[in-house]
Amino acid sequence: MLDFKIFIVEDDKWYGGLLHHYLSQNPDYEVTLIESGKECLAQLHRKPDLVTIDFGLPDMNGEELFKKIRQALPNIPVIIISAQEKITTAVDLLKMGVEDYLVKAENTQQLLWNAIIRLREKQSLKNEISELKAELKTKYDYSRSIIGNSPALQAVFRLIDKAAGSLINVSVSGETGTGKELVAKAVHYNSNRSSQPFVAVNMAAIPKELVESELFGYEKGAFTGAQNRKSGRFEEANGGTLFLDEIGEMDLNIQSKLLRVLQEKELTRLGGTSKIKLDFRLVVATHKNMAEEVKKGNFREDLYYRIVGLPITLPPLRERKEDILLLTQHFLAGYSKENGVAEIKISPASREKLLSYSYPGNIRELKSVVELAAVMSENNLIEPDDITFLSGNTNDVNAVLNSELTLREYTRLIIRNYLKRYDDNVLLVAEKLDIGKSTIYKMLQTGEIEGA
Amino acid sequence: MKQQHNLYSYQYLFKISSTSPVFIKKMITLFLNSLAEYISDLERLTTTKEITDLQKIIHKLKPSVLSLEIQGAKEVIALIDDTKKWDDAVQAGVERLLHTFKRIQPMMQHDLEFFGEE
Repeated sequence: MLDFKIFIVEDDKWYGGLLHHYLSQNPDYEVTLIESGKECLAQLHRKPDLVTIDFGLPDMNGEELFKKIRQALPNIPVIIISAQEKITTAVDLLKMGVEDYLVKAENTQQLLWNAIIRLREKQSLKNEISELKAELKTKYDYSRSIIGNSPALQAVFRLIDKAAGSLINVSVSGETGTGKELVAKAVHYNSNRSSQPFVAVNMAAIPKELVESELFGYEKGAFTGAQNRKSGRFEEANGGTLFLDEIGEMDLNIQSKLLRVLQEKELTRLGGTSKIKLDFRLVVATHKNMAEEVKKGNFREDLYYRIVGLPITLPPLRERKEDILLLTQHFLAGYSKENGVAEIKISPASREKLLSYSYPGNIRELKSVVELAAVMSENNLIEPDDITFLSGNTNDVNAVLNSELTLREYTRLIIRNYLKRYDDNVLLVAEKLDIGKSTIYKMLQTGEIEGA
Repeated sequence: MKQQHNLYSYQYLFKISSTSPVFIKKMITLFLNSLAEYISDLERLTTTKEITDLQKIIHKLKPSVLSLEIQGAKEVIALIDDTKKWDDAVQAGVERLLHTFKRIQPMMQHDLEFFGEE
């Protein structure tokens, strides 16, 4: 471990000697006893990790010396040790940024020892956070985290780049499993707000009655059970990015409140009266067609135009088949690394099988299929029999075509699949398949097909 | 030499030093070096009766005197810390400190010899 340099600034030789001896018992500490404020300032080039100051130095008081140290080395922690017990002095110094204020007493050296341990733990956590932030930035470097070479994905990269370089709101759309949250994170961690919080809220995962308190926070006593004040997700995202996933699930009442927050850039907690200023970038995502939702009256038009910002549409995996094998290799490499096993390869027939499937669950489904195949494989080679498609063979084009069904059965299968994809929207399905809506209604009524 | 003494105690030094004689000797020497200065300053102040100057000196000697548990010092220090003017009680307190300091000076010198012999 590197030495931790401590300056003890103390004019009382006796007391200074005591602290010096006590702290020097830790072999990791390099302790220097300094007898005046001026000498301390002259020694700052040695870059101490901590300075302890006696408040009543003869050439300058502790506050003055602290300010001068702060000017020279703004990040060096300072602990004041004083014989006076005035609480106001201690509070003022702590407000100025002093790390700790200790009163000279019988157990001061023990308190100082503990304060240094706490300080080092804090510094170690800070370093860890910085490292993790750097790691996150690398993780969400979208050229590395979002895998694929298809032109469709390259277009998405260009849009992420545009979004990251500005403060515009972003709306991400795409089927389930296409990586909407990954895109939201890529926008955040590649923007100049990357050191600020990224707060993700899944609107579909919060019970309706809790949404308001979750987003807006509340004051103590705002409702039964509100025993303490709590900040909401908007406040948590202040300075950074708020990601509202499944925005299409948002209740109309909450939509109007969200609109007000976005217009006024401030909010009032539930049960509160004071306004809290907000500054965050909003990224929303949905698997629904929001324009359709507006038409149906499920989503406020004014809010839609406010949040749509820069729209990024993620293509489903079936529209970028050229990325399937690239993604497969990526997931297999991850699997080998996580499980500490040798590289797993895929046989040519397995490649064909992987490419022939439509992946309604998109990348999330491909990942599960690949990982399961890796588990089932023998001798580190994935054969076709190791591959099982999770949403059933009904979606596997080859499997369906080879199943020798009647035309009526194929029709039923296709309509059922489309209804599932478009949330039982009969009109939309009829339009997409270019068939009469009555055909579908009739099949539904007779029970020939069932809704999703 | 005793760890426990009627007029002062090295118990605190023993506690934090892991009974290192070198450290204890160093701390006694440092205290004795300051003690002569404290005695001279306090004697001067019994004439000038400057309470602010007295409080500065008390501030300086407080850690060592309290750590060495010098008899009666704790009460006198508390009295002087709280007072705003030089009154009879302060005068008596300072004289008591002076008396004690003068008594312990040769005793501590003697203790030093003990540590020197180790």
